[in-house]
Amino acid sequence: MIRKLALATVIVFLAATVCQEVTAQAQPATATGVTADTIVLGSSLGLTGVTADIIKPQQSAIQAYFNYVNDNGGVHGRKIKWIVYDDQFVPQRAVSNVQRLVESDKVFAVYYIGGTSTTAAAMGYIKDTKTLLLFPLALDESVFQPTIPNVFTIATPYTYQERLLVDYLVNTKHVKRFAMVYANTPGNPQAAAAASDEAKKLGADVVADVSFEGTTTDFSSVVLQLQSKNPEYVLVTSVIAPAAQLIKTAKVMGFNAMWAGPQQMVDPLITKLLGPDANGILGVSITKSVDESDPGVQHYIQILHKYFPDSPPGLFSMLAFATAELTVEALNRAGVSPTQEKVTQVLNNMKNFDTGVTAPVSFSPTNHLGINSAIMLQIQDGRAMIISK
Amino acid sequence: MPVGTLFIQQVVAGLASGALYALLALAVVLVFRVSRVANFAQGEMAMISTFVAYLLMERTGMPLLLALFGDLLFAGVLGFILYFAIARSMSAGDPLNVTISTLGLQIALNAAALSVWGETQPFPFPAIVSVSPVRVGSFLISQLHLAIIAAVLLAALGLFLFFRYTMAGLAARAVALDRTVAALMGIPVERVIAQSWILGSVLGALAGAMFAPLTFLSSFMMQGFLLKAFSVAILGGMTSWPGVVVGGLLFGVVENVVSGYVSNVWQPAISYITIILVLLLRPAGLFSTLYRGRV
Repeated sequence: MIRKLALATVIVFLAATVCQEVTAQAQPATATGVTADTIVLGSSLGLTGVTADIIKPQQSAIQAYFNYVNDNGGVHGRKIKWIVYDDQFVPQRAVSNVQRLVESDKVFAVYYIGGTSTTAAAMGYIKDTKTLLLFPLALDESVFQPTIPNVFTIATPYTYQERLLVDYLVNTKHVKRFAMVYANTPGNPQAAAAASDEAKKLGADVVADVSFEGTTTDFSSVVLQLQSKNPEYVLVTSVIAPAAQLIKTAKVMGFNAMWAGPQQMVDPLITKLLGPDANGILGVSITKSVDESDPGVQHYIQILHKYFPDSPPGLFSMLAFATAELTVEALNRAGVSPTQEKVTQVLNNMKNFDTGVTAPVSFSPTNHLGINSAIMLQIQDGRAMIISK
Repeated sequence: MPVGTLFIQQVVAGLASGALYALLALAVVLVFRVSRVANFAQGEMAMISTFVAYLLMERTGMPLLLALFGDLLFAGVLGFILYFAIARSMSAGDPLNVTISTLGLQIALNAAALSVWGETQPFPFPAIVSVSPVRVGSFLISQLHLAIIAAVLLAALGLFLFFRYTMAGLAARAVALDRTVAALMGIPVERVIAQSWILGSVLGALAGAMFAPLTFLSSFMMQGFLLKAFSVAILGGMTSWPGVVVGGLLFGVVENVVSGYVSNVWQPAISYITIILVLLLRPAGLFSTLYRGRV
């Protein structure tokens, strides 16, 4: 009798387990932002305002990749729906956008907030609500230092980029006199300070430290301040247009310095704006050069131009594309019933994932900065060429 | 670089940037002086006109000078259309209504430009003269900066002569003083105001074509300049041509000297504080007179 009872209990238990498993397979996933046929992601980007010209190509790159994935069957049969709200690069608007995405749109994850200051503003809400935040374009250490369990990034911060740049210039080109010039917006002064510290540590002099406001329309005074100190290399940390304007003004005023800086200094837009004056500019990049014949780069350009033929390829556009690839890969690996916890687990275990356009990406539970290396590019004959890896 | 040379170089560079502000400010003052409307869309009108020059060069292969001529022609037509579309319909009311509507126009023009060129901007824009610097005594100045200073001086002189010595200028002054009386005297008030919008738009377009080689062509290129142009216009007294030129040059020099010797961070604040101080001493602006009468 007891044996029969035990056998019956085991059979009932097994049947219940099997039923539960079968039900889980058959039912649509119930995680927030996941329906039977879609996975909803949401972003806050500066589509209008001062960063619009930088953000729009990134938006196109991401949308191109999601279109490509959706046209090829989606993620385990689900299409990716990407909601984007314009924050005009105003931090407060980014906070309300993120809140709206999470509370009204019920997104699976907040994905790609387009800026350091906008991401910094939204981080309080992200931390408080433990919302999954995937790959914001925040070039600031606070996103991953200390590690936040629900936040992942591949945007190597300016501080890291500029230290690498100074190391290269001192050790390879034997530069002894640096000047730092930076836009006075979040992240940039810290990057310039990191570069200065690194230069001093390596025995070089920082002969000028000049900041400018985002509202600056004329760079002649900045140029004169730099010129009077006669630096060998000027390290510029700002978005592309003011950096190009500064270099153009320097040329107009007869100041022929050597220029260097983070990723945007070797973006194709710099070449487009400065023409031959861009030759010689050095930059440290976390993506490959768009001028490479590398298959990964060509794949990116092919997909981008399939969906957005007029969108110009660029380094930030490529970085945005890589984040879309990573997001899709994480969702794929999370299986047919993705949850925020599964995606977090998948990313924590991701090792050497090849996006094709960046260095391999690896995360761990204690490291949520996915890329720890960079390449050195120099503009030569209008093309950004790799000079060191 | 010796300290004295650096200071002179800062002043010279300040004169060049001040001339840029003054050029746009002349357009602002021209429209305000005749129609009493502060046209906040002046910068965006200039930006759109400069895009037209760019399109003419890019799409048709037109040489720069011809494209600039097309740019100025388009600007005149744009000024005419916007006057009849917006300003004229409201001109019977308070000029403040039109002023506020130009704020809306500014936003609309910017949004239109952004939607057309947003993803591919900014663009390089060629300069009308070489940007290479020339040595004048112990300091360097760009040929482009010299051209800008020359342009603002010529524009101010032209406006002064037009308003002082031509019948059309006399009519414009009459309209500026009292529209009703001017109309009773047989002056075609609407035509005179339309002329000021057309000429203001052309001047703004000239400023845009001068800015673009340095700032690059984008939908945002005039936004930083507009506030400064208005500040310069107020500094000059909103009605005085020499006042605008001197105000612009002064503003540019103060900006550069503060930037060079005090702080780039404090530069905008100190520049505007300087304007407040000047207006405390001369409430009507540098070259205008405040008339007081017993009532």
